[in-house]
Amino acid sequence: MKNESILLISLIFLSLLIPLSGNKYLLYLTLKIWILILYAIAFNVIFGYSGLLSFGHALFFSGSAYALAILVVKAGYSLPIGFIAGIAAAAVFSVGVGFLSLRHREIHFAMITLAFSMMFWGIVMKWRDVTGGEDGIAGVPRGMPIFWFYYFSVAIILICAYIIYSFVRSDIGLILEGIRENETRVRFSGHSTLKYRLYAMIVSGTFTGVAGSLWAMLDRTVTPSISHWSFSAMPVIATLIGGPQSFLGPAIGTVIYVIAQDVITKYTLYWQFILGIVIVSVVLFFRGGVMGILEKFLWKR
Amino acid sequence: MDLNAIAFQLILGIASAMLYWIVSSGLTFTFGVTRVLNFAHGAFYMLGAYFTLSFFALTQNYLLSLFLGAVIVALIGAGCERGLISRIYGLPIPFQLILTFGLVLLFDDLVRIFWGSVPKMMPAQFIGSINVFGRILPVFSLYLIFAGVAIALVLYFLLSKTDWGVEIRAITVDPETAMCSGLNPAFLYATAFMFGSFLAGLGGGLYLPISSASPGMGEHIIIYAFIVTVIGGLGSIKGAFVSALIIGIIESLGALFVPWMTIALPYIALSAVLLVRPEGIFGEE
Repeated sequence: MKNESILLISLIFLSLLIPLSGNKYLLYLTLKIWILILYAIAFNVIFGYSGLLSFGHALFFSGSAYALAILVVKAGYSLPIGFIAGIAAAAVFSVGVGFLSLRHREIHFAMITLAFSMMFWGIVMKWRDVTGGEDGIAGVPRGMPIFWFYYFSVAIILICAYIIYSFVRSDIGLILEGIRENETRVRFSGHSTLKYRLYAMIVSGTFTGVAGSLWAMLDRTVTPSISHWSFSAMPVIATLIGGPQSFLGPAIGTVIYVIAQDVITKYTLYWQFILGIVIVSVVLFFRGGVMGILEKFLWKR
Repeated sequence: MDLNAIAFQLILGIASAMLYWIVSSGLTFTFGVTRVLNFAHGAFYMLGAYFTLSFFALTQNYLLSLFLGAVIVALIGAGCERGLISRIYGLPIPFQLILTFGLVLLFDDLVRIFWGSVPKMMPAQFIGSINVFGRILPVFSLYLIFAGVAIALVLYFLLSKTDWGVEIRAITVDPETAMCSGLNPAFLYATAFMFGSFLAGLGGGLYLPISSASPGMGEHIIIYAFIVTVIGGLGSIKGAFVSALIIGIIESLGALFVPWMTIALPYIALSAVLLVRPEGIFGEE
């Protein structure tokens, strides 16, 4: 744990220096990583801690981004109201999807979350008057220069990450892991497994929504690509690369994923090919992800 | 809305349902036997289209190219099963989904490398059309319906009348007893996977006269195949046939009555079925 903390704090500190460098591209890329880290960590509450593979988290991400964009750009509300409403929208979506999907397990859970998110994608594509269809909504304000927006976002992301951390370390988190390992036993000890899974879904969906709202402000446009199912696959891959069984795994996976994508696409058009090989070898040989390797060889606990 | 329009839309719906059925049959069949939900099934569909295209350039014979393309895809499928997928039997579903998703990314880029990123068309085939209910129906729609029914019959014959089919069914129902009676699971799993990939490749080749082949075309069809498979009941071939028809018809009639929400209709159908009957129409448990 000590090694992890030192690594973590130095990395956070390093990233705080980035805006000072004055390199706009680097700033944008780093903030993108930060937001996707929150996305992956929030996703992993449902995946790693509750053992349910959601293939529809893009719904919460884009649901929040669209709610913000529609309220602020189309309806003329102020940015803070849009930001809060975006997060609230994600929370509402997660309650709804949670109620309807959590009775299912494994493939069926993955499929029903996929179905709901693609339903939303269909609505976004077709309801042009409100969502702008394929073009999306442009002109989302940030409310401040990007320099300050960076620190604002990082502060929010760190607070959210801390809340998620407290959640998975709480009694509820423990019960969730218990359900993941042996649902019947947890039921026998008198807990409603559905209730706890719903808590996990709400936490996961709501914080995914925070990431989505920040993304809308960073990008200043919201397009249907963030509600497509391939955007739901992103945190799955990142979590798997980093290691689903630890809190920081998804964060590390996201950093590797985004930087690798950025670097590889500079040299070759065929970045998916390399990503495919990485995914296949992770599943075949390193199922614990990067964190699993670190724990096994470096930090023998 | 006149009845002719509805009847015409119905035929179109059945034709596209047959394409969904051919692809889904392979997916659900492989899942039934190996218990692996294969994301890469869509990639095999795409490969089927591209190989058919290339063989057509060589032979100028569509039916022959279709068959050869599907055979190549079947061999690729068997290679993937032996080399990769056989190593993950019994692992939790997320790992299987993600490994096969990795294969999708890999194959998508391989197609870009070998065939290029630009969508490719086959020289026009089956240009003829017939007059149905006062409207022009491409004759290929009828061929597609014919192909779908033929494949259903072949599947039925293979699984109920041949030794291989009986062995496949045995290992599906009770793997341990099947192995104890001397069946070779590695052979059966590999051939089942090969056959499933063959059907995917066939589906891809059959798509060519309708539209162009492009990298990533598999991602669209695999979502449909998932929907069809889950609605029908995972592993149920009969279920796949029925639910493919449901989806195809819902979509084509939806285009007539509620065009603004056609894109969401399959997902609405899936949600409705999962909420009422989570195991699917013909699913067990």
